Amino acid sequence: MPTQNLVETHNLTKQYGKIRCVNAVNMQVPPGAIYGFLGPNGAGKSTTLKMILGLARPTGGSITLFDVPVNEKNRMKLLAQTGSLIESPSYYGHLTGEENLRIIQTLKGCSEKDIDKVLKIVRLQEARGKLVNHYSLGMKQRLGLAAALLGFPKLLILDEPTNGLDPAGIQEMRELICSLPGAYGMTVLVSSHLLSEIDQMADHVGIIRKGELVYQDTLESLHAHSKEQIALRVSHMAIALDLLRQDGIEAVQEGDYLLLPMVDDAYVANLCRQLVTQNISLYRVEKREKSLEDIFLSLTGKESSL
Amino acid sequence: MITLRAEFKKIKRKKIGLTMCALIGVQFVWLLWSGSRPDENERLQGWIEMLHSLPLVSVIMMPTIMSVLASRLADVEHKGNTYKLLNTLRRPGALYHAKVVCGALFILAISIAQFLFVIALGYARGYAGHPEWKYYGTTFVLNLACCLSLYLLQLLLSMLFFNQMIPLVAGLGGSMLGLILMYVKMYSFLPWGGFLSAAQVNMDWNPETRIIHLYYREYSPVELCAVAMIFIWIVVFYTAGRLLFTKKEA
Amino acid sequence: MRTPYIRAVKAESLKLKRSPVWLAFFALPLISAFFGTMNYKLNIEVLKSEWYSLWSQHTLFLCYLFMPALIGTYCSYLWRLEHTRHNWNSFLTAPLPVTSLYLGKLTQAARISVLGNLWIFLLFYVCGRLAGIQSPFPKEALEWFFCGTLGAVVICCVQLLLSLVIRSFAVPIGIALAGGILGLYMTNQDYGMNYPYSLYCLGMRANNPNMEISTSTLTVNSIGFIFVFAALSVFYLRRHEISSN
Repeated sequence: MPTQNLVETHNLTKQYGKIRCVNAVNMQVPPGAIYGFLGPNGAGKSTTLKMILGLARPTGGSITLFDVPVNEKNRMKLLAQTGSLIESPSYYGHLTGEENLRIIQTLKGCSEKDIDKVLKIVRLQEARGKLVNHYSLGMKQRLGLAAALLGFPKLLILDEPTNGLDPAGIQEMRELICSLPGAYGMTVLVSSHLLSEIDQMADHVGIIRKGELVYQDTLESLHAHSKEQIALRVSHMAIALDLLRQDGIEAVQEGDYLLLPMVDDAYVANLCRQLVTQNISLYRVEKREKSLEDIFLSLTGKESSL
Repeated sequence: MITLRAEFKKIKRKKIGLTMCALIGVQFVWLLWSGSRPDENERLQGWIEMLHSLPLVSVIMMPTIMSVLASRLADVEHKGNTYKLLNTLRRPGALYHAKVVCGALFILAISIAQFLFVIALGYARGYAGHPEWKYYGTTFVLNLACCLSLYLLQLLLSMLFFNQMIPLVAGLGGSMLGLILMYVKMYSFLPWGGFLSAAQVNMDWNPETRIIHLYYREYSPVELCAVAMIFIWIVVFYTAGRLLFTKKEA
Repeated sequence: MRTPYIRAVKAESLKLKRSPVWLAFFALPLISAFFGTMNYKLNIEVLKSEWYSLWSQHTLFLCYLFMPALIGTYCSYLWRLEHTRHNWNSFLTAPLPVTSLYLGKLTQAARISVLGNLWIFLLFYVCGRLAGIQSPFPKEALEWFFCGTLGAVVICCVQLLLSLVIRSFAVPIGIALAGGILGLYMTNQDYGMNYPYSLYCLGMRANNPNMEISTSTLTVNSIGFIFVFAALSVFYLRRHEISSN
């Protein structure tokens, strides 16, 4: 049955000994998307990506890329349409950046002109003749991306591409990734442990926690969860609740507070007036914001490593 | 001490001990094989014959064993890119000392094992009399010193070059040079020539009668200089290694 | 579009740029030839078989003790390129069959062995002429070269497997040295044909150019060993999850 997705995993599982590092993950990456694969360190991101690339063997489940099942027979054909940068960048330090790219270009069998193109994209033209041993980490990372871009594959898989970069480098890498679907029609699957980063790059999000995919949707719907609320603390909750219900507003009680959906300033002013005239003491009126961060934390259940 | 303990921890999973045991094991097999089933005449000559073949085994195997050992200890840092990191944790030079002492302990263990094996083998084969302790002792000490000098040289090379092919090939080339020099009985001041200087037995071979005559050597003044050279190399390589290491760390 | 094998070989050639590792294959035979010839000249009254005597002087130490270890260093170097700097990831995601990737490595190792052997024979010829040997160059040398090279490729295959699995640079070289030394024993016990490290010396007729050996047995056994060890390496690459660092 053909699907619309470029990458699909079905109950993808990886077990090391007794530990399930990746557990029944059903990932769906639509074409043309920048799919942010988000999760704390050690949640199983790299392992999942490695299985998609055939660098690790799944203990359960299956993967399809471009609607073709990933197996030993199709491996080569699929790898030819895929570029990847996994973990730290790979490079031969005793060779120049250009020579490194020439090796990948030879292996991929793509055009020699691609080397110039990708060097330009990652802005390494000037350092092309320099030994990679003398590159900074940011330059090595960009070289890694350039290698992944060679042949302009339809799918790009990037594992923590901003790891170890300075703020300027992170910004640069982010802009670069964002431009890829538009400029070259690529689909990008990018992992990160930083929510803010995914928030700025991706249009689709998958959140993985302890090997399980706990959330998957567009970034937009993730944002929809991050609603604003008005919180009230009053002396008589029941009366206030009644009052709100008469106005057709669904409020919920949470501890000492009543939480109501976002309303405009005029309604708040009016509500306060009504409460006061009914001799209800009004202690607090607050605007509450459930941030993306809170959602992420509640989904991943982790407060560290963010 | 802490650095030394850390050094042993680092190589814990690297199976250096196992590698060294295997390589020294090959030496034992070799010694076992050469001169197995000795006849009466060979038993009489046993101890001196043993001491005659020992340097040959050493010059062929020890330089490579030393380069393997040094490469194994230095490469841990190359692969982890930790030369700089470790400098921030310890005073410069401490890491070098730890590597030197760690290697020296291995060398000592190897030498003692070799020595004990040779003596046990001699008695087991029923060689006449007892080993000449004076010559056996001198061989042991000089072999040990020669191994140490080569280890220091190899450690220097292994740290200096990321490409470990360079030190390993140097080890092989040196070994070959040492072997050839021993074969043609040419005394030299090369580090690998030390095994010849350490040899305590000389051989006369009469091409007409085809009789081999072995005798314990007396050192000529030039040969004594060659012996002294072993220790000079130790000092030179140690100093150079230390200099390089503190510079590399900085 | 070039075939995967050619692409793999070309990529491996590119990786070897800027590292003069071939120098070792130049230097060691040179040392051996120099001292071998010198010893030949010094003992000319004992060594009477001209080319044959010179050949044993040239190859005795080199073939038994040093070539296996030297080939070992080269094989270790080839895999070290991937063992370091996270290169396994990019190596194994190249869109080529694993067999081609492996054959790329083997081709490089075999090429340096062939060149090394050519060099050994060239040195033999030049040194012989310089040493004043008048008789014609032995025709059997061609067979020695062929068999020796085949034996060298066997060592390449064994060492490539060891360096692939062990992931240490130095340890496989120690094994190669040990293997060569044990080869002395194996050859001596007439077991050399079945021992991978002995085939090179047997093929080269190192130490004993008059040795009668069966070229066909040597060829068949060598090809057998090459096939087995290459298959083991490919199997390992395919089945084992090799991770960077």
